[in-house]
Amino acid sequence: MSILDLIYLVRGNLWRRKTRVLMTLGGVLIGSTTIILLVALGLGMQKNMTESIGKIGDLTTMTVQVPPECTLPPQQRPQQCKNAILNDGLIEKIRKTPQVRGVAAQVFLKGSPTYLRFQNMETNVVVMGVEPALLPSLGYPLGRGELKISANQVVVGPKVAEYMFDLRKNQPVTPDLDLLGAWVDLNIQRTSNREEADRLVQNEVRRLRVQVAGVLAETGGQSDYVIYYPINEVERWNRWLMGRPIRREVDGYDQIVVKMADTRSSASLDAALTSAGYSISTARKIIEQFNRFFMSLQLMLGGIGGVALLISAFGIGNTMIMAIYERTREIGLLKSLGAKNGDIFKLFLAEAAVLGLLGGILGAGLAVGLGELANHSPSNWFSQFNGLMSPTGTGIGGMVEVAILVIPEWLVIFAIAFTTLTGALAGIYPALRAASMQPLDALRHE
Amino acid sequence: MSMGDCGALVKERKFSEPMVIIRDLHRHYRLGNVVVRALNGINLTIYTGEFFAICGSSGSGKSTLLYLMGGMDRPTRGELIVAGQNLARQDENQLAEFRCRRIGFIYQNFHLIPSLTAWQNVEIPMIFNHLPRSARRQIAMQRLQEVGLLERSHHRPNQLSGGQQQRVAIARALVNQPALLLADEPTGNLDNSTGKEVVALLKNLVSINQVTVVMVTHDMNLVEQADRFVRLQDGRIVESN
Ligand SMILES: Nc1ncnc2c1ncn2[C@@H]1O[C@H](COP(=O)(O)OP(=O)(O)OP(=O)(O)O)[C@@H](O)[C@H]1O
Ligand SMILES: [Mg+2]
Repeated sequence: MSILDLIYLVRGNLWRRKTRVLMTLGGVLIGSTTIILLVALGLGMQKNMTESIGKIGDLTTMTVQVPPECTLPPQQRPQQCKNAILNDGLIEKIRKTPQVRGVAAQVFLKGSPTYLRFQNMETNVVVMGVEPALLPSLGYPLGRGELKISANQVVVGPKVAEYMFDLRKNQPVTPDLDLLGAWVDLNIQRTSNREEADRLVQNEVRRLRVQVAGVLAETGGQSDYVIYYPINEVERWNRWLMGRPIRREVDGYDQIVVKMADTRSSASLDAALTSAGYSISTARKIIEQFNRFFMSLQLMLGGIGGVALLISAFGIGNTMIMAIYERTREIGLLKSLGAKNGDIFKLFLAEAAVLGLLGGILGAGLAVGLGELANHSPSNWFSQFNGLMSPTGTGIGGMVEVAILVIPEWLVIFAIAFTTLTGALAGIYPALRAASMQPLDALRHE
Repeated sequence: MSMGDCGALVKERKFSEPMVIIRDLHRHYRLGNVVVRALNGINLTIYTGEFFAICGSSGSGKSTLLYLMGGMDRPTRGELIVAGQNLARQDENQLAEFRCRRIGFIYQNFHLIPSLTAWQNVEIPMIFNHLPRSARRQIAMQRLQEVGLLERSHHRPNQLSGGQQQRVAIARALVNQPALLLADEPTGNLDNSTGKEVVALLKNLVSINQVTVVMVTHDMNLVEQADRFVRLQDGRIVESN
């Protein structure tokens, strides 16, 4: 019996039991829709997250730090930290690596905390010291102004002054400030314990008056919230803050930022530095980690959908068992007309598989339709949920247009193939039963 | 109807090639501890081209014998050679092949598939005989024309009278050009005159197509029309000519 004949017979057999076929298809439809929507939801989350992370940093920018245990005071550091120091020697070595476009040491201003003061408003900020000549080579996207700073100039991230505290009104505000060209104050304070005067704690405050020379473009990443200040100034004030000279050869810099020509060479430098005992963070690494998380999420959601499909498989099995009871005489007749056991087996298996196929196609259609609806509905309540799921601090969820459900072609094809296979599997037992009936018994069945 | 009449006519045997050879054929059914001997030592030879009748009282084993000849069932013991094939030694696939190419069945209750039209019912045996679709339709229509139902080819069984349904079944039985036509009380569900028409049609078609016919019947008029007959009782032949 050829495939075409099989299709011809199966079509006729299904058509004549429309109601029951539709009921069965309903079950499979729910299974396949569930599986697609759940996986699509996972994929949507993954896409949004990946896009958010993609904004944190260019994939070719990496930040080199020492492992956390190496930031302990020198006496308490483990042995292996001896070799992992962020000093000029390391910077030179990195600079000589092929495909390196820029490399610069960075040092945090260690005021705890540092306050930015503008007009009557204040907010705490992260001030990062960087060599002014190297700032343009590190791949920070400039929004407006210049990437050029001198002793009393800074380049600020776009969201540095997003939230501020109004000292006059005594309440938090979200001013929409344009700081370009403005003079702002950076207030730092040091706390010193004096033995005399009854162990009084005394705070000393310094006010650094700086002009904003440039504003970075928004990336969603760390640079949105950082103020870049010449490293010499930061070093000077760090000395004042800590009350002692800083020995770079021993303590090293806080971090080294490297800008590579492409992602492949950044991966190899990453590997080399990691094996030398440094700790590297790149957006790529974070993405990999999230991908691993989403892979398991995907499997879990797919598993739940799979259970729905399993239930519909019982529906198909039930329909087929009913069919062989009802059609016992017909099976006997077909055998008397020359059908082989294999023909009967194929016929019933194909019927079950077609039930799975049709249910899968309908379910995929429904899922795609629902996906369109959810993604294009004007008030998509899901965006808040997505906002929750985006990495802390980037805060872009809900503000950007988000695709809630991502339904790629492979998912649709996979789901349809899966329901078809499920149908066929559910049909094996009924088909075997039908095929192994004795022709005469079947024909005389009441 | 008295079964004693069923051997009233003796006809001359005009044929020589055996189509069916049966030697000491048994078919026993076990029902718990009881053994039902549905066939209990049948010896019979049916020749090519014969129109052969089997009669006998209810439960005497007529249908059992007929389905054994058609390869629908297996004998408990004995020799059973039909159209040159030893049916006792064939596996299920070979028997299916045998039924497909050598045998046409006609049943008392027609056994048409209700959801299919007349021509689609006629088409089915050709599907299992691997005929291409275009040929199937053409042959089915031709067969329906021969039984006088061409204009009914697209009707479903429930839109046809009993006699018409049986004629569709006859067209279906002949469609793979079988060597042996096996009919189990083909007129049992028809009134007298319709039954006569159907048998006349059957006789006419088989003489054209040179098919051997074995027919189980209660009807004495039909037995009279047969070339030869046997009468069964309790699984044995008790009368023949
Ligand atoms: N599957 C079976 N299991 C047990 N006994 C059976 C089976 N099939 C037939 N028999 C028995 O075998 C005997 C012959 O049955 P068969 O159907 O051949 O009779 P028949 O001559 O065709 O009768 P009828 O004229 O009523 O159709 C009967 O006694 C019947 O009960
Ligand atoms: Mg019978």
